[in-house]
Amino acid sequence: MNILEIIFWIFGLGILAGAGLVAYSGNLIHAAGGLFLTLFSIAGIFVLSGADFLGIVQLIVYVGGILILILFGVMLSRKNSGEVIAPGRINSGLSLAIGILLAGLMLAILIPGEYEQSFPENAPIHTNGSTASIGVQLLTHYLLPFEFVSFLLLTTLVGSAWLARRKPAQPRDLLQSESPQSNT
Amino acid sequence: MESYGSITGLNLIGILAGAGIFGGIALYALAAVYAERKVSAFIQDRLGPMETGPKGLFQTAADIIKLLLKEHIVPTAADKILFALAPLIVFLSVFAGFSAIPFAPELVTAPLNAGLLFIVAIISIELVGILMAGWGSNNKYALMGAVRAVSQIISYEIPAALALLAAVVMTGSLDLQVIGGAQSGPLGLLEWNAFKYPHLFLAFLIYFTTILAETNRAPFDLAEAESELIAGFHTEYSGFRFALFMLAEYANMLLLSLLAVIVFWGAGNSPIPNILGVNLHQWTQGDSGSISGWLWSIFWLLSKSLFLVVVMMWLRWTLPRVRPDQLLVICWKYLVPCSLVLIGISAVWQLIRIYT
Repeated sequence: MNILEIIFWIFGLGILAGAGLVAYSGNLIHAAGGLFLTLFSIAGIFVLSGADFLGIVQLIVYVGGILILILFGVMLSRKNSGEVIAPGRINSGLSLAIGILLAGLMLAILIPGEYEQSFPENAPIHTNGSTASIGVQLLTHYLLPFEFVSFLLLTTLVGSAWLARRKPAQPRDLLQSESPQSNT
Repeated sequence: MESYGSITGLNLIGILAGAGIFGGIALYALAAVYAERKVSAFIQDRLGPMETGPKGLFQTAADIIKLLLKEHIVPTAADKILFALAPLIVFLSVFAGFSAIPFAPELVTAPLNAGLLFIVAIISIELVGILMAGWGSNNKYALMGAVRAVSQIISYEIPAALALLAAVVMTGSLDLQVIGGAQSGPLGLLEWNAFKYPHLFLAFLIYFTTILAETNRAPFDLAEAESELIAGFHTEYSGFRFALFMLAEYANMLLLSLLAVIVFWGAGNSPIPNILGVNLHQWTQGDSGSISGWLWSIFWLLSKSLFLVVVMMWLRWTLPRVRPDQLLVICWKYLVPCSLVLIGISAVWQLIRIYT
């Protein structure tokens, strides 16, 4: 077992432990910590597989962006810090069936052994030009999806700015300024 | 299994390099805290620490020993796990950023193809640690400080990344070694990004402003606002854990300054040009790949970065703190649009360069 495999197992177990914490922890902040562990370990697996750019983007988008957003949401919306929420058990029969199905599917793929590929001999950090090739592919072969996604993101940006704007006083509000609803 | 030996050998060098960088950061932090006290004292017409050692030189060392001997105090109502993990995450994220810094050509512990992006990404992990510290302390001042710090750092990451992007468009690479290497030449100072391309000097100014905000230092120290929030997210910390937060703050200042120097101020290249046929530049640069070349690169890189750190201290003790609304206005109405315009200028410049 070489050192890369040991690192792989550390990250793999990190993903599982984090996911378990998210599913079974009653404390929302601890669950967010588990999410951090999972997302970080996935970034580590990406880097280990030679996809360093993808790993870095995983860190920026999920850890630096989405996780912080979730933490902010939890912290600003809940007044009691130590509130414990019992993990719910809705449709446990159905989820058990889906879980067994998924696990069986993965085992069916993995057990034939076609994926017993060991890590490359050299450290995979030196993969050259991943940024350049991603950029060229995005602007040539995948131009249409890229433009669609950027258009969608721009729409979201404008929409959220519009929702968060300070609402100008409507003429109707000015007329009814005595009523308590209008003092937004 | 053949690769076993070589990979562990590689890791032994990596461990040694990591220990060396850690020792360097610790020594630098000692010196920087002392320098900060002296700079603030001279700006305020005082003497600063004078008692311990000649001119108070050993004051911070004595303080560190005091901090290490102090008791770990954990508030009863604190979330024990988050409280203990937070300082580690904050420091490790900054420390990991140093792994991608090339101190000289070919002298880098992690030669990443997208090293610049890596540093920007790894610093954002610090935010998780800050939030954990603020939440785990179970103290409303600590939580408010943490929320302020994180929201400020998140919003200032955008102009920082855009300003860096303006330089990346001119260089055409995210590899810090390539960016640094592209700024070497016999013209010295005039080969640096910030002086070779006039608009990148503005990008440098924008980036430097965001550094101040990202390290939560005055004039952007709303998160620590000692008169309202006591000290922000590390109010409840004592002993070694508090020392880790301070270490992380000073290490972060150095890391972001190193990044600024590598991207805008010519990395490890000498500022002295060749004048009238005298090879001043070669004399102060050494041959690339030789020991003297490495030492010159490290010398120039570190002295330029430490100069920026001193400028940050100078600004901290000169400028008054901004108000929260001013903080938002500076970021979203001035820095972000300006950096977007600078990226546009870079793009047009590159287009003209390609088609002529």
